[in-house]
Amino acid sequence: MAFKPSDKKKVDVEDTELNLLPVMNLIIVLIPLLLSVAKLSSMAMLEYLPPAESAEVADAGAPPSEGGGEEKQNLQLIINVAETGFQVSMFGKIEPGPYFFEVPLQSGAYDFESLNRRLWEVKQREVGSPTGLDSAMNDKTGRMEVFPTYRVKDGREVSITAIAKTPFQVVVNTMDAARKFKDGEEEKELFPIALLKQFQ
Amino acid sequence: MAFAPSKGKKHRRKENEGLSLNSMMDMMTIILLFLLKTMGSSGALLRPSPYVQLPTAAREAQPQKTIAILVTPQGVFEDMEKNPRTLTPPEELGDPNTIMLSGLETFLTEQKQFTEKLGKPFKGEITVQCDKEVTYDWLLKVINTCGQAEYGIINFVVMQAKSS
Repeated sequence: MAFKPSDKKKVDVEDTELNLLPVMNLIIVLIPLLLSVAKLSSMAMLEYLPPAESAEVADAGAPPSEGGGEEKQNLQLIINVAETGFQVSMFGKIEPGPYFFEVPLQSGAYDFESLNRRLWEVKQREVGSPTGLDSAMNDKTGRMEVFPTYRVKDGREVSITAIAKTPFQVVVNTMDAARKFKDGEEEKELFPIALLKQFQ
Repeated sequence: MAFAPSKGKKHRRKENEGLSLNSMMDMMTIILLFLLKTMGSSGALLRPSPYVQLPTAAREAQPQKTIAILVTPQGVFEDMEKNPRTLTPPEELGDPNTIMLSGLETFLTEQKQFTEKLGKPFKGEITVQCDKEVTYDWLLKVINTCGQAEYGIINFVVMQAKSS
C-alpha cells in the first residue's frame, strides 16, 4: 500500500517579519533622554592666561631686529571699570588728553558699544596696521600659531582692572568689547589678550 | 432568485495588516544618530552646573572638562553633579586680608599630585564655572590661587552669545 502524500506540502509558509516593537520602545525612550541631556543653549570657553604666560606670548611676537633695531614702545593699555564708567589709559597717563579718556555710564549702565568704538580708534591711531607676522608655539594645542606684530610691543594686549564689587558679567563684556570690532561685515582684531589686574 | 454567497469574500484570506514600522524605525534611527553625534562633538561631558548662572560672551571655543570648580556667591565648590563640596566659604572670599584661598589651593595641589601619580602629564589647566554675579575681588582671589597652585590656563565657561 502506498503511503498517503505528506501534509507538509499543504502547510502555508508564513511571512515571518522581524518584531521591531522592542527596538522601537528602546528608541522612544532614548530620544527623549538624549534631548533632555542636550544643551539648548550652547556653552563656550573664555580662555584666560594669567599675566606671566600672556607676557611670554606677547614677547614672542616682538622680534628684536624689527624697526631698524629700535626698541619697541609699550602701549600699556588699561581699562578701569569704575563706578562712573570706563577709564581708558595708555602709556601710563592718567590726565585727560589723547592718552586718557572716559566712557561714562549710559542710562546707568556700562556703555560697551562706545568703549568698543573708542578702542577701535585707539587701535588705528596708536597701534596701526600690522608690521609683520610672527609665530609662537601654543603649549596647549602643540601647534604653531601665527599672529600679527605691531609697532608697539603690546599691540594685542589690554589690562582690565575693576572696582571690587564689579560683577563677573561686566568683566566678561569688557573683555568682549576689547577683543574685536565689527566694521560692517568685517571683524577687526582689537586687543584679544586680556589681563585681569588689581584696581589701582 | 437569491444570488449565491460570494466565494471570493468568504475565502479571502485575512491579511495581517499591522502598522508598518519600518519607515518609523528609519526616522528614529536617523534622529538617534544625529543626537548622539551632536552630543559627541559638543563635549557633553561638561554640563552647566545648576548652582551657577553663567555669563554670556561672544566666544566660539568649546569648553573641555578638566579639573573643574564652581565659583558662586555662596563660595567656591568642587564641580560635582550633586552636593558639591565646599572648598572656600564666602567668609574667606569676602575677607579683605585674604589673598590666597587655602581650601582651594589644597584641592588644586591634591589634584595635581593625583594627576602626576597616575603618570599623566600635568597641563596646568582648570575649568571654572563662575557665576555672573560673582564680584571682581573674589574672581581675582580665585585666579591668584590657581596661579599659585601652578594652574596657568584658566578656562571660564560662558554661555555663547549670538554675535551682534
